[in-house]
Amino acid sequence: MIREALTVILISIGLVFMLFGVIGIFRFKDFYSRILISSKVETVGFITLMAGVVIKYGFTYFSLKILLICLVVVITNPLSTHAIARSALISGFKIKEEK
Amino acid sequence: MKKVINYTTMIVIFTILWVILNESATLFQILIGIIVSIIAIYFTNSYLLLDDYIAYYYVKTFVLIKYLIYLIFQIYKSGISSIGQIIRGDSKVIIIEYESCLNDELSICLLANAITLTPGTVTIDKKGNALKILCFEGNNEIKDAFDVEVCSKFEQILKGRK
Amino acid sequence: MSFYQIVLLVIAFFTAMVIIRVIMGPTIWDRLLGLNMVSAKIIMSIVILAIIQDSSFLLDIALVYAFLGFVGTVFIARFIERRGNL
Repeated sequence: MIREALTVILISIGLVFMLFGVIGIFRFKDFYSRILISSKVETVGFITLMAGVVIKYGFTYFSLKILLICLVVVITNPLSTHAIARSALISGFKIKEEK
Repeated sequence: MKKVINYTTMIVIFTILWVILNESATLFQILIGIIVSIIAIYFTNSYLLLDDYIAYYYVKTFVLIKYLIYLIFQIYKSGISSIGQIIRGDSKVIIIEYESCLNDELSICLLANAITLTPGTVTIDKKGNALKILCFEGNNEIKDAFDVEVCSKFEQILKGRK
Repeated sequence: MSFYQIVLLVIAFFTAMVIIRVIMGPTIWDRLLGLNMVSAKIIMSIVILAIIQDSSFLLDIALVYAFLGFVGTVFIARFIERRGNL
């Protein structure tokens, strides 16, 4: 019973983090600020949601597979953020001057 | 002797992955896993990666666990600070340069990966051991969002990699 | 309607919002960032779907999708960075 409640709470927290990520990509005017904010909130939401699912299933093959997915996403998400930012920098996208 | 221990560790890891993906831990399944991982390592050594890659990518288990725990702590800190940033609205960004004291490739890559996940910073470019970092300009004009202390903590952890 | 079906609906709504950004986005890098976020959300919805149907082989699809999304994003970014010269 406690495990079920904990799962619901953790998944809800993950959804709140994802909501902030979606707000973040509409709120900022500059591309570089958007990339600084959104990818991190996204990763936090992902880890929290997966932690909720792992607590629901306990120590089974299901949760071991989810841990594998979580590891892959934590490794590859910063790499793709880095690739996008580097591509923008090399193509000559300048930081906007503040008026 | 060291080579045998390294290969045994790799075979054990691959077999665990095979068992997880197949969802059954019978003796037959474990045996197939061991055979498949030996074949995979043999093909990698003879056709794919010809130079000595184990010395390149060797990380102590204890260092790896310490790195992961500190990384997850930093990820949550960065998520909470990002929410504050989103509520407050927009601010300026700048690009700064940072010279790391680490000098082998894998450590610098792990450091760059960690910097991307710590609050308010993204690594953009790497040349040798100089990193270009994109970060928010601090609103109190004294300090940028880039935190040198966190970064040097990661460097300390990664120094004992071998 | 169970809790997990509501979660699936909320994730679908977020994905639709991000797709609006992808269509609107002024530069091509905004679109890439949106693509990256969409692929992360698709992985999450596959995991929730696996819970609803209680079938763990759907998780393999999520794992493959994680790798494919990463490779796709990195290759498009590299294609733009070298101006079409891979």
